[in-house]
Amino acid sequence: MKKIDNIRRKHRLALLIFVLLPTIVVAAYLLWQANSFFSILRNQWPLQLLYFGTGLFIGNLVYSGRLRFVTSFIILLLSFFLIYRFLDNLSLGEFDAFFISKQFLVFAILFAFGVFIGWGLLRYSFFAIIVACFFFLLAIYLLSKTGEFTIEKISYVLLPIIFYCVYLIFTSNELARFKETKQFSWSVLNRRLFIFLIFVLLVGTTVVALMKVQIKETIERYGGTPDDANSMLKKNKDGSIQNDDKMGLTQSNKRSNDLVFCAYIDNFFEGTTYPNPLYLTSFYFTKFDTLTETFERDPAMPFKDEFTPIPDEIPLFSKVIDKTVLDSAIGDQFMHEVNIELYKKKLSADAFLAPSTAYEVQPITVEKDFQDDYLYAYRAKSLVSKLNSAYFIYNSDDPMIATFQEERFKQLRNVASYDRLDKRFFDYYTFFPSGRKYQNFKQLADSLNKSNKNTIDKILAIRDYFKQKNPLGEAVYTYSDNPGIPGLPGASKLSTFMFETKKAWCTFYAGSSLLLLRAMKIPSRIAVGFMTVDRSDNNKGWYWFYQDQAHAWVQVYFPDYGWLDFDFTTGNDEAQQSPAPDQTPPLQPPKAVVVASGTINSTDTLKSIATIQAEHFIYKENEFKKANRLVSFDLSKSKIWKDSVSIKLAELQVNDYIVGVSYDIKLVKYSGQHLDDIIKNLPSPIPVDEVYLKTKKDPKENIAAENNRRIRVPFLAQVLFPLIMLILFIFFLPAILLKVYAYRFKRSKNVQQRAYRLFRYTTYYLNQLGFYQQNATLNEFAAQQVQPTLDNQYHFFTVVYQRIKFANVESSKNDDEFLQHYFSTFTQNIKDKIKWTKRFQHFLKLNRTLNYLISYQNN
Amino acid sequence: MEPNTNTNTQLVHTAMIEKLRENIAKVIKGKSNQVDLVVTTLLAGGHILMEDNPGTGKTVLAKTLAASIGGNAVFKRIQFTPDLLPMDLLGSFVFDEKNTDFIFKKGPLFCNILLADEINRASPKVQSALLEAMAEHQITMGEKTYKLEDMFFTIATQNPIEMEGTYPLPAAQLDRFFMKIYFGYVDEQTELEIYSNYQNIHLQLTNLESVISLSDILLAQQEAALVNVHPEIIKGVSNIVRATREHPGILLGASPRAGIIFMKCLRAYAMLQQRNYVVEDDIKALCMPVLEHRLEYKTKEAKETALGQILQTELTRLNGLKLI
Repeated sequence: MKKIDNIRRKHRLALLIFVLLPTIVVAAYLLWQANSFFSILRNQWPLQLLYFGTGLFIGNLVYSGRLRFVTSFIILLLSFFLIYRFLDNLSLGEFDAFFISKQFLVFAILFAFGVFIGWGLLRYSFFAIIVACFFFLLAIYLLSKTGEFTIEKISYVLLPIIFYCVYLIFTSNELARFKETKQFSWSVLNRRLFIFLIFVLLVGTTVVALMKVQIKETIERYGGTPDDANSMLKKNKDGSIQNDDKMGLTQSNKRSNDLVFCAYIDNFFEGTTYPNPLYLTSFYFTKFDTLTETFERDPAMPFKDEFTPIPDEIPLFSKVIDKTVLDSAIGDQFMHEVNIELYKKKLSADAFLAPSTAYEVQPITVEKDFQDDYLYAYRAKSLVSKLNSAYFIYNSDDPMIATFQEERFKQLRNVASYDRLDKRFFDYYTFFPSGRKYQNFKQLADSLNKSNKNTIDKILAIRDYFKQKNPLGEAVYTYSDNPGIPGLPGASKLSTFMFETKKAWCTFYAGSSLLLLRAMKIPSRIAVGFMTVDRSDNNKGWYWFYQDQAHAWVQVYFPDYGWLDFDFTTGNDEAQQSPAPDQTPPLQPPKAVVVASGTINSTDTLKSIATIQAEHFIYKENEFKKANRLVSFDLSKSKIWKDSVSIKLAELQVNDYIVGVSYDIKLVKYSGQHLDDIIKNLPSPIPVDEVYLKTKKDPKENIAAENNRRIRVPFLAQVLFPLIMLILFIFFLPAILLKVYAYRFKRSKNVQQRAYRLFRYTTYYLNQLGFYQQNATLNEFAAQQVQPTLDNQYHFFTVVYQRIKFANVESSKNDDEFLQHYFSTFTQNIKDKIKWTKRFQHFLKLNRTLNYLISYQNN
Repeated sequence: MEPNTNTNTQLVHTAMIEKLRENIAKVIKGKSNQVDLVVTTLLAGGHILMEDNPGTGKTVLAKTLAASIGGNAVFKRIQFTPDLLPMDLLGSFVFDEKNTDFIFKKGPLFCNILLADEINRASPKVQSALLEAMAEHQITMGEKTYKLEDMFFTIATQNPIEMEGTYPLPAAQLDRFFMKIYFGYVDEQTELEIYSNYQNIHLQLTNLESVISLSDILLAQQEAALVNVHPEIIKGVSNIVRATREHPGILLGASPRAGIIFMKCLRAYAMLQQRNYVVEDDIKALCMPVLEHRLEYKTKEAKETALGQILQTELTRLNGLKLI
């Protein structure tokens, strides 16, 4: 009777460890996946896991007795249903309560499901097969939701589940067998689990090794940091961000409301002080890859008008001008020059943003008082159509904007047709993917096309289509960071958005409208950058850009007017109402008089003088590249910056690359056109206000950094590595413990201690080798179990040990020597008698260690 | 390197005791455990109750024991029957015609080793007379008190079958016996050996020479009382005895007298094992014989498991004990 009880208890424990825990892990994985696809779950998978896990354990606990399942479960469901109805009725019209009832629904379903599975796994061995099948089907369903059947997807979603299914069926079969035969063996289970883990590791590493490239890409696409995965932005290693140049239609778009940068855009409605915001463009997606449904940058785009300087690599106050982009932009009517000044906070130093079409950039310094807030800044110039504006889908109430809209639409209705356009240009920007998937776009475009002749009217038709309302007055197309994903594999995500779910974020709107425009044969492309929202009351022309303003929209080409921005994304109110809209704009730095950059030749810390080999020299408006002159700086009053951290003069070293900037008005008076004249006229050393130490990148380091960025498997590494270490540690724990006992024995102070520690060492060792003392006394154990098998005179030791323990007599030096000697004899004997492979196997059996420790814990 | 496993430093009489064991083993085959317990009881100065089927060697053991003890050890055997009277045990006053006086004729109780066969068949009156004599080491007849022999050792036997017409000993009476042991049958190998050699064995019994004198036994008894008992062992005994009173399956637990007897037996047993200190093995060996017959259980199941559980708990405690 007692034995059966014992087996039942062990069985239950084994069920808990070997079946329920893995089930919870897999459930966590599935829930995590499911949360990406169902917006009702609201991304709270840990909470949901808690519901499910609680249900599972409660089911397992409650039904271990003789409770009738069917009745109790029906009562549970009924009570859940009643509570749900109650909550639902309570919540008529109230938003919060609506969510409470939805939350409760999720809880009730998961909890009841957990109870059900907990019950089934406990009572029926075949239930494991049902659970496995169910999880497997769920995984396939979730996989289908992603719409792509690539190997990497399968390996991510399906493989763990397959492993789990095989394992679950196997283990519960084994457990059932134990239950039937009334025998129980931890070691069999242990072995199973160990072999299984090794198998998983092997297969896992093989898969990872084979598909390194795809996985790398995937990880890069996710930015390596799932917490902050804004698919519009990518995060750099130093924590700064910039627009991501790959725009997949990935599952969800997470955003945060951190200030990224601020900018002053010198663009006002003509003749007024009313600011006309312009979207800031980073680059263009001109090509749509039908295979991956991804928008791509195309380096070979015709009439390339992309101006992509890297501000960080341009010397301070040096201007980089590329007029070729203006020629490529083919449009010259109604243009005006727009200056912008952009102060970066979290934006990457490399990033360049400006209204299209930009052609000039000049990195500038940040005024002293604002250097804590903003790290980098630049000025840029763009040539912008006077008809361009951020106002299109969203408008201000101001009547002036309405007038402006009317005006520009009127003007655009009169543009020439596309007939005169370069054929290559026209074909490239009106490319429409063939294939049935896109036919419904074509049909929609045709229906919108019918009544409208003009390009701008067609655009307006598309806008109105997106802004349409249903009979209840609710918007049909809404904004959502979690668009939901088509139920049929392979179906185009865009058409699912367009014709089914009708909620998504900007990429979907931009992509869909691009397809519509191109179906109408209107040259268009997607621009990526930041959406500009005018929230400022006091500082006209200043705009603040938060992380959730990263944006994608459409640019349409009008003959003679060039590319104009059109944003079709409806209802992204959150992005327009970011927090703290009105801040103090940074002051413009004083005009730099002298800017010189180069490597340090020598420094004199006493006199605060540094001499540099100036490569680049600017005096007032004159810029001299490749100057190659020796220039001395007076650094006594200057502030020295290194990566936005102030440092001391002594930290400057020969061969450091520095930029010295002087705002000294007194220096303005000198004149001269020739570089040598200027240097001669200027006082030497030149008093400098600010010095920027540039860590000149070593090419090797550069490559290394590049490699680092490319490898970047932090997520896998962070999870897998500690996991593997943990598993290794657990499996080596018994061996480590043996060493601990041996060490303690050697460190013991007197005979009593030594005897006791040798007793622990030997019994632990023997226990691990499968000699269980159990109910025998130590002498019996030695004589009846150990001696016949190992023939190591263990009973000699036990007799001595017992005497030392109980006899109350002074132990002799003889005893001490015997203990020392027996320790080595004992260890050597086991090494001789039991092969190391066997020993190794024994030492993998963690349950023996646990049993030993527990049995001694009782005292 | 040979360890110093010699554990006997002070005991003088262990050699003789060892010889006694060997001597008995010549006749009693395959019963070393029971022999040990009998000798232990002898050394502890107590009396033993053996329960088993007839013909398992109880009488032979008693006889062998008596024969091994030299110095005119007197061995007496009484077959208990329902019509036995206390007088038959203690002796009676007989009229002496020469002296015209009643003289006391000593009964069989005045011996060194007494085999009381089938004690449960006698009337309670006789039983209590015997048990009182055992406990007091003296008998009172009328006005006179007669001392029994200094070495007085009773081996009582009891038959588990044929319960009809018997008077089972009550627990209070059983408490007087130091131990109750079960003789049991020997294993197949030993039984074969007995059958092939029974004549030889019988011869051994008749020619058995005494190896220990009565006075030596008495000295050994005194020596056994000096065996060292570690405080933790004493605590172990106390724990076990107390646990019997608190165990839910036990109706009547062990008395403090039982604990004292347990201690006495432990010392004697350790001496028998040629040790001058007690170890946990001794507790394991003696717990059942010493305590079991004193307990009354609530259920049959408890009878099988309760004491074992108590013992095991204590043994586990002692085994893991860290004495530094």
